[in-house]
Amino acid sequence: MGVKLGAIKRKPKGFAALFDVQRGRYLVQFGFLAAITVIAVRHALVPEGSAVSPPSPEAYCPFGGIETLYKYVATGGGFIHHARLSNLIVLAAMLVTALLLKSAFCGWVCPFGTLQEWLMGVTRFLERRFRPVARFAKTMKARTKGLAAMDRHLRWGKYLVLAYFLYGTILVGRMVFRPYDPYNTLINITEATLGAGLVILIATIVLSFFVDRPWCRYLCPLSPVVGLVGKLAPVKIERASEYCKACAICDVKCPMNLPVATATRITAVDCNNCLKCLGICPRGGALDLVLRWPWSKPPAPHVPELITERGGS
Amino acid sequence: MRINPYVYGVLAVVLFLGVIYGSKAAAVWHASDKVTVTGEKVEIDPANVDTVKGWMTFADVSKAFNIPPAEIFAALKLPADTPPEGKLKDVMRANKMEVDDLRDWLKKRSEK
Repeated sequence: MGVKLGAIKRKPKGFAALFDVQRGRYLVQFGFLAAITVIAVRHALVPEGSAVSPPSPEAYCPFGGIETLYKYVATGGGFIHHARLSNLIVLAAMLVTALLLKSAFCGWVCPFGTLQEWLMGVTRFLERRFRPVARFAKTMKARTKGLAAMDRHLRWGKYLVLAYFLYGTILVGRMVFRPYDPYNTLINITEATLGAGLVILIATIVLSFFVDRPWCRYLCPLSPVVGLVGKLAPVKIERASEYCKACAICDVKCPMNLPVATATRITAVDCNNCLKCLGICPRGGALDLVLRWPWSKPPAPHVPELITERGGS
Repeated sequence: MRINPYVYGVLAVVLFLGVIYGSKAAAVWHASDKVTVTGEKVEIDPANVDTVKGWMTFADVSKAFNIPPAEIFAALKLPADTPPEGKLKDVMRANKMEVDDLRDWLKKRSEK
């Protein structure tokens, strides 16, 4: 793109300024969110038993694919209730994407991740526009510093959810997680009753105004699946220490609070490849998406050459 | 090799949708639980209670398992005036139960 390596990036002009990567990503996210909304509304509005029977939005959820995978393999084609072949196909699409492009599914496709991200976007917009909101947010951040320290530990929650999820589907043969699944409650909102699913959905929505992607961060069982498969992906974000000035603005911008400024290659399960760090980095070539064999060693950190005095001997 | 972020985004969409539309093109995609892969209406198999679906009615279950609706309502402690044409998931949910409770009862009854 004609950026001099290590130099300050020039402000984009014309098309590049109008349609930067983040705007493109928002457009892709909007497309997937709009598609699942249309499917959910069509399914809710058309009466059951009519000649036209639009599929349930659940048919497009990779959760269902993981839940039915064991039964499908064990019984040679059987499905647990609420799962269909389409769930397995969407799961395959998600895994193929993860295997080649790491967590692109989470950052670009997942409608529930999009919803949470955009709710946090509302808070950021209000912070920028209204000083009292910014002051309130600053005070809250200071007062909840102790809670922020728990963030690292709470992230293990999603592995527990995944374990419960797998236990239920393998041993019980049912979608044990379905009554608690906020995304399932959301896409079937017209049928929702007051229960755990609705409570978790409301809690996720409220939290999303204060924490970036709380469901993805702490409880989403798909996140570790995508993240662990994504470790094999050849495309990852890499930091070239010779061009990086360690300003750490990428750390501030990262919605998952990952230490991008000190990493060489971003392999973290929690990274959702939103590419916000790439966009905010002021130095050309310091952060880039790099295609490299997953088992190859990351580039060695740059060590500045020692300046020595020439001796007279 | 460096990858342009725009190319990355396009690849993500193409890969994800490519698998889905590829399966549709290969006629593998199947998203309905009301019709089979071959397009026939899904019917209850009395030998397999898992074929009972939430969108079916008590009349469907009654006919397939040859059980009078009144016996089903009594066993599940549902109101006696429950309409047999009511969808299973709606009726069960209204009575704070799941369709799985009906399947469990049908399974136990068939094992007797």
